Amino acid sequence: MAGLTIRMRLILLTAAGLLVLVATNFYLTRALGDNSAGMVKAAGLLAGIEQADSAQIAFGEMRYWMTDLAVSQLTLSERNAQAAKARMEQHLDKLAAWNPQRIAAVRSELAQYDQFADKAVDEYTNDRRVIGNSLLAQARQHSLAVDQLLASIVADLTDEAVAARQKAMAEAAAATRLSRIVVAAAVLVGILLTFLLLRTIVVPLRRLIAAMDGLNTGNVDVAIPKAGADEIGAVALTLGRFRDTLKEQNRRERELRAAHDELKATQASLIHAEKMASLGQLTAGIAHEIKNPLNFVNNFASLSVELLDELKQTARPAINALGADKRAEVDEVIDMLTGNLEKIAEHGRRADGIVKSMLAHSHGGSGERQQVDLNALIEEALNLAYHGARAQDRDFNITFERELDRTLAPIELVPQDVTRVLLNLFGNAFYAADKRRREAAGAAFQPVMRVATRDLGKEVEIRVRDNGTGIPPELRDKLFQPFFTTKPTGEGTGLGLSISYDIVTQQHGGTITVDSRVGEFTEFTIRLPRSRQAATAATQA
Amino acid sequence: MRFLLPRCLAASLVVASLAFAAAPPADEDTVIAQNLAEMLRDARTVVSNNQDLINNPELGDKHLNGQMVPDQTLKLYQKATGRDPATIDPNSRQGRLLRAMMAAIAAVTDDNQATINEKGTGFKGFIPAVFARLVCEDFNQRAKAEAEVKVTAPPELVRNRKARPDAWEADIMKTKLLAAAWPKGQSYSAIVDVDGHPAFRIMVPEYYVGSCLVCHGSPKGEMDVTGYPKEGGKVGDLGAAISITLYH
Repeated sequence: MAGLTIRMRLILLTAAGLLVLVATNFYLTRALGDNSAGMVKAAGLLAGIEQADSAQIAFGEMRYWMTDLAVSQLTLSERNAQAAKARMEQHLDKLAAWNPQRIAAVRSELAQYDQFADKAVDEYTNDRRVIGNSLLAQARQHSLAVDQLLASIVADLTDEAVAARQKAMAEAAAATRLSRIVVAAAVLVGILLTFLLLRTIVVPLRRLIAAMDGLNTGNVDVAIPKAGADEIGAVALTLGRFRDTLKEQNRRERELRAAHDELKATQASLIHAEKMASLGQLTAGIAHEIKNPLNFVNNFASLSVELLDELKQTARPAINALGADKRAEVDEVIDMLTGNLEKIAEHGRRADGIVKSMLAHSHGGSGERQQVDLNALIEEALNLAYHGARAQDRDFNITFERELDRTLAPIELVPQDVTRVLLNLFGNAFYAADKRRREAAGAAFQPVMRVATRDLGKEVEIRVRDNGTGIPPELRDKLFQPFFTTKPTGEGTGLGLSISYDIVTQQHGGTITVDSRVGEFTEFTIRLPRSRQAATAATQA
Repeated sequence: MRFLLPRCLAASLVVASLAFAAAPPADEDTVIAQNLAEMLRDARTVVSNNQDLINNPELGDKHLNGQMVPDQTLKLYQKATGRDPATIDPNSRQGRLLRAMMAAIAAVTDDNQATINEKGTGFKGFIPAVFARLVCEDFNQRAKAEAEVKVTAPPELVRNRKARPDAWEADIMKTKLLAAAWPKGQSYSAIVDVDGHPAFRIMVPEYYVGSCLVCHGSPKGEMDVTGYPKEGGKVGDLGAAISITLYH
């Protein structure tokens, strides 16, 4: 049935119902026809009985009026007798169709009665009563015969009518019984067929509804019912196409979203790059202008220290000639000048370092790309960072966890710049973890930093995760901006992550992202493309 | 006509008598016939006049016997014709027939004394029509070779089959007496062949008067006092005819 259309199924079901109806109707019509014929026959026989009864009555009336006529001589009686006879003849005419021979016998007896009765009346009319009596007696014999014949006819007709009626009733009962059985069977079969038909419609419809609901909620992987040959199959087919369309739309939407995200990221990068470029130029200009006077400061500070040593050597004899108090006072001033000049030189060097960083930031990486074992680079940077941290703070300690992909193939990059990036990330991780340790103050907190590498095929991934203080969400967008820092004044320039961002994204065409939860962790993820083309394309984009 | 009402016949008799007086018979047959008819009517009138007496259930002997009825009949006859039948030669045909009619009237009256005088019964069926028929039957026995008298009527009006008209009578009533142009009260006579012999036959018409319609009037089919359906007749309609045959 599923191979048929719903329309055809309905037509077949209706046709089946109509067929049963027509067949039942045909049978009942035939049965009713037979029954009607039987009833007509019975009715005809009953009418025959009625005719025979009426004939008997008419004959009785005729006999009465003839007798009355004989006595009264009234023409009214004669007319009544004739009318009764006419009625009887009519009844006999109608009865003759049933059994002409028997009616002929009745007519024969009737004629003889009539003949004798008429003669008797005539004799009475002529006042010959004796002859009249004799004739009337003979007429009476024939009247008895008429009575007997009519009575036997009535009896036979009654028997036939009863038989015909019983036969008709039995046939009607049989037809009724059979029609009830057929109707009951038709109803049951109809219910069953309707149920099956509905099932062939409802079940696929439910599946379709489920599929539609699924699609409506965005589940394009929902199962679409198999497309059959019927209308529901057509709907399923259409729904399947719709699902495919939806899938394609989703795919395109994802692509669009990805493109959009990429565009946004690119836009942000461009904005940032532009900002950084502007800032770089500004910084380069400032640094260049500062560097020359700063060189004078540094150089003259160093020269002044040397000159002060020469002055001290030259003036030694004169100083020794002074009294002890004066000599101590001169020595103290000379030492103070020497200390001041050294501090000027120290801070001048520091300022020179800052200027150099600013210049490096503005100039970007300038190193040569080369094939590097990234894991080894990481180990080297890790070692440098750790010892640097320990040099500044003897109490500093941290646990390293390494998940380095040992199958990682060498990657083409600028090792000095990438080392700088790694040193920045490690230094920040050390700072955050140590800060949390210090803030924990006595709690059993163990600073941990985990470094992981992973080969992604066309890319290489580096993850640096610490269990430090974490970065609040509102600060994450500012992390890569130049001069942004959460460290106290003098401890950070705010250029580390900004320079790292440029090295990763601008120089190597990679990405750097951050994930963090305050009080739990911070994790930086760097992805570097393997090939120069990809890096170049990413950089240009 | 057994149940023809007496007053009707009495009135009819008067009409016929006037016709008789106004138009004397042209020949002997006509005269004899008219006189026989007159006497018959007169006898009926006597019975009609005494109908209440006859129908009195409380009275036994009503003295309406074979002497009294003929006497009263003769008086009426003489009044109508101006003649006394006793003066007519008893050997003449007219004399014989009138005496036979008188004898019949007396005999029928005597024969029905038991009926007339029966106590406890009101309507006894002894009415002028029955009386006239019985008189005619008795007369016919007495004058068998010479004459025959019958009171008949159009077939649809005949109540007793003994009064049924024969073919000639039915034809005359249909074609003459009932014809629209037939003069009211006029008799019809003719010499006809009866059983191979010539005979004088006359039909004297009798018409309904008001009293006749008590039994023969409207509504048609309604039962009259005798239990017979009324014929629906109207005043002036032909109700009967006295048929007289004189054999030659």
